[in-house]
Amino acid sequence: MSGPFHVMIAGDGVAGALAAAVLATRLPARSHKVTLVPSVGAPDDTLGRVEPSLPSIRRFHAEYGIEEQELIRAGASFALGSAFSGWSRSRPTYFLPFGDTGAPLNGVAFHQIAERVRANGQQLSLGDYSIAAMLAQTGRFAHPSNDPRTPLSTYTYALHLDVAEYRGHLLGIARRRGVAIAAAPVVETNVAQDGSLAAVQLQDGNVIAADFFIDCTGSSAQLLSRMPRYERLCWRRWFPNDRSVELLTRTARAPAPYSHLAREEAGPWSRVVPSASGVSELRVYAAATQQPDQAEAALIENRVGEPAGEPAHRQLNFGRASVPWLGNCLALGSAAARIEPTAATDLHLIHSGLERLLQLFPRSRDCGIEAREYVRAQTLESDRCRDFALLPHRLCGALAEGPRELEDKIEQFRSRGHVGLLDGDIFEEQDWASVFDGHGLRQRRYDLLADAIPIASLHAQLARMRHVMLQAVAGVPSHAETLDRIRRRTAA
Amino acid sequence: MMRSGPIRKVLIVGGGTAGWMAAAALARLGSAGVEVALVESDEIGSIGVGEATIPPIQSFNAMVGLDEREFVQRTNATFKLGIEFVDWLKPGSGYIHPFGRFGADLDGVSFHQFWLKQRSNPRTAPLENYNICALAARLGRFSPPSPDPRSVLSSLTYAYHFDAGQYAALLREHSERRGVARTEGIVVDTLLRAEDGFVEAVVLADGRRLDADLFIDCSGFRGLLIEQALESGFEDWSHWLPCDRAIAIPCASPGPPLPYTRATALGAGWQWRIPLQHRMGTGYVYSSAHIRDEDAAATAAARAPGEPLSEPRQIRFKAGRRRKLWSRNVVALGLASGFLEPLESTSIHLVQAGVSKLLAMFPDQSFNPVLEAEYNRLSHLQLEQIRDFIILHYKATERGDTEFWRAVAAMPVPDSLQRKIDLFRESGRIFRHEDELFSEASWLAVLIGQGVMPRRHDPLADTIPADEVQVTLERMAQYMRSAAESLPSHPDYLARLGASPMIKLRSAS
Repeated sequence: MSGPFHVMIAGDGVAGALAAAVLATRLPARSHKVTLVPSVGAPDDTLGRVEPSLPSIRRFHAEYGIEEQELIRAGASFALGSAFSGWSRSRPTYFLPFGDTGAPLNGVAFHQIAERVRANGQQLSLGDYSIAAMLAQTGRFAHPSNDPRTPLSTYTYALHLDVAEYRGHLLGIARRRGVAIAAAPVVETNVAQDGSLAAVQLQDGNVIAADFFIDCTGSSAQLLSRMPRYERLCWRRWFPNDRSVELLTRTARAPAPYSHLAREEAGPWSRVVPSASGVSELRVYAAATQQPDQAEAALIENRVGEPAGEPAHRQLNFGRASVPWLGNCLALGSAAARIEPTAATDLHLIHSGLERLLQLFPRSRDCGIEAREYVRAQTLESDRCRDFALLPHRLCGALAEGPRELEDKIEQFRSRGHVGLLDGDIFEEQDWASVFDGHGLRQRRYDLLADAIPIASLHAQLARMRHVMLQAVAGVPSHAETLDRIRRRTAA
Repeated sequence: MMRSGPIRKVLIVGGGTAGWMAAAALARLGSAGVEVALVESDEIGSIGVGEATIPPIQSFNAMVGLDEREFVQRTNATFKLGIEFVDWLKPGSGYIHPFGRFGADLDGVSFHQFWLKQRSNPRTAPLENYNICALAARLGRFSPPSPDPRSVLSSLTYAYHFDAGQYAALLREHSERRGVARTEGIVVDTLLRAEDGFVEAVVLADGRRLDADLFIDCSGFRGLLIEQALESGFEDWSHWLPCDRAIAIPCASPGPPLPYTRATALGAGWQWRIPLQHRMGTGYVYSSAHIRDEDAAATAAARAPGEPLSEPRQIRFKAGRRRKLWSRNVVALGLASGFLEPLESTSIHLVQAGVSKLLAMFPDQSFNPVLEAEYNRLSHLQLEQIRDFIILHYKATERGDTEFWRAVAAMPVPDSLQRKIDLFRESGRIFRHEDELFSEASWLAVLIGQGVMPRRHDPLADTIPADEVQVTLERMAQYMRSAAESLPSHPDYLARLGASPMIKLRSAS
């Protein structure tokens, strides 16, 4: 092999910009070259204008030198979890927090303790024992503490990102680290005799040959779909919603430190993701139940801020590429998988896909062995994200039966409050327990070992826990104050 | 008719390490109103030879409330930092599979990729020189990990060698103190419920009948309940693991105990050496298709490092697993659940893992099939992963000196293992699947030790220039070596713990 190993990234939305920034940081410059080719039309047709994320984003940014402070200064804000209204038949609203709920007592998981307390006749809400939930409810935010003795070390957080700013920031990093940016998008792909991708043709006539291609072109999967043996798995039978309309709004109010998902009786649901620079208001519905103009009217009528642009209508086609790495072409973002955004997994899957790629980075176009391991692990993770995203639909009764792995988890929980985590699961037992609890799904039996703790002692310990938590929360500044303080810090 | 309500009584059938480990762990259910009982016969000998273990045993002992000092004294235990594999790759070869990790990752790239990058440099030390447990083991040193997270000595991970019979006795004491009722007797029959085929009771030779809601089958290879009564079925793995017999000879220790197990490859299997305080456990695990019993016994005797202390014992087994480890209201542990040769000291761990899973999924009288299915799924996965790891030691050999070795070198292996070997051979990558027992470091130690050399290293390791990497490697090796040399000797540490006076004498001489 002569010359540097050339990686071409097609599509300059967030996925492509992330790939460019991260690869340019990690690949040895002497032996590798990265080229980024713009998207056809507007980039990021699947992400919101403000996109939520999961706590995994913290480590990812730290790992690749993406400064959180700079993102905050550009308008991002913090998130402590998601509030779900109108989904549960037993409770008007429940919260899915980032971080711990309660703490194990005598080695017994907190949700098992909670169930024992309920079985004894006392009401208990898991959200009352979650620092993240308490902070979110009262509009507070500060970075968690490293000191394990304080309850303020038991939560974590994610970011609400202004997508255009995030993308711009990443492109800046990519350029500074030597990524070549082509001038025109891809119009044609040249698949070689051996089934590998050899080159692409751009709209301006240029031809770019490369050794490895990363498809970040969005749901059309321009490159991957041309590869032999490409197949797409459609998840319509689980995700019947196939349309969305989104509006970016502005408000003088300080952004809440969480996203809010509200479901209507008839089926459509909305998601509000606030940030310091604007609010993304999204409405997801099924074309069979509503016309686009009706959905748009409902969105505008229920808006929380003032419109700062035109509503954007989209078609949704949830599913994934059956094999997201074929030959020497890897898909990232919605070219690989598209999941209904109830669990904020879109950005996470791009981050984890990139990390996995780096762990398995190929040396040549002949990379079947690396591809096989990547596909195994990444598709497991995508499918498990799909299951968690389906969970609220399944529990509220909109979906009669989900994929087998999801049904197994629900049944195991119902039986004994046990959550059998599988390879690829990114959400923890506590997260599943929070959602089950929110929907009023009770376990038939709780962990026997919870019975070993006398009930009076349990009540006392829980009361003390809540007291200590409330005291700690009271000392935390407001979200607005924290954002302000960070923005005022002068850049180094 | 489906029953309901909590489990009121658990009966463990069979003693030995499996039975008493289960009893000690389940005893805590007593405070939740569950009666735990165990039936065993003094007449039926248990297999218990010198046992080697892996680090999770520490948390099991802590969970049942055993103090380490008392445990070491009562079971004649010694410490274990890893296993040395002699002559597996080829005669004259040797490598250690240590506990713990190798080196330290740099810039998100695994340490071993840098080692691979520099392996042709004559100043690059063998891989095991970058692991503190391996270094300490070779020097005959031992100490528990340092609490200072900045010191490499904080990554010392260890397990034990101990007398299985004495361990069972210690666990029995603890269990009986916490309310486990022991019955002496031989189980001769099992009574099933007519309506659903669940086990209702077992019947003893003297006619007594013991009823329970949940039965733990620790009756050994026979699987009195799981197999003989419930016909669970057995999945045979002998086409991958042909060893089916072992001859065990406890003998006198030839010198101070080493802090590691030794497994030496022989013509039709392998010999184990497990150092205890009061003696050495040794024996030959072999394939009866490739060597006659008399010859195996003679070889084992000839290779015993010290004077034999009792008659050799022959054990017969078959590699494989029960199709269902949990069936209806019976959960099988230990030999009743299946068998994998003790090449990587996993037997006791499988009991521990089984008991932990059972506690996590403890049923009620309705015995929801979902719990049984999940238990079996997790158990099967774990057994497969351990099986694959053991097969690797045989498959990746350059030996061809006997029919046995020629056969195992040529045999096709499970897909799951082949994929791992291929991925590693390509560019040194290893991934741990589904929270499996053995870490990337363990796979690395055995793959490299067994000569599976990657064609190339991870290209991302090239971000750091070769001369810089070389300097880092040399400094790291030096630092680790001096750290290992600062440790006390293994016999000295044992003596400090109040170990058997016999040890003190030997180290003084």
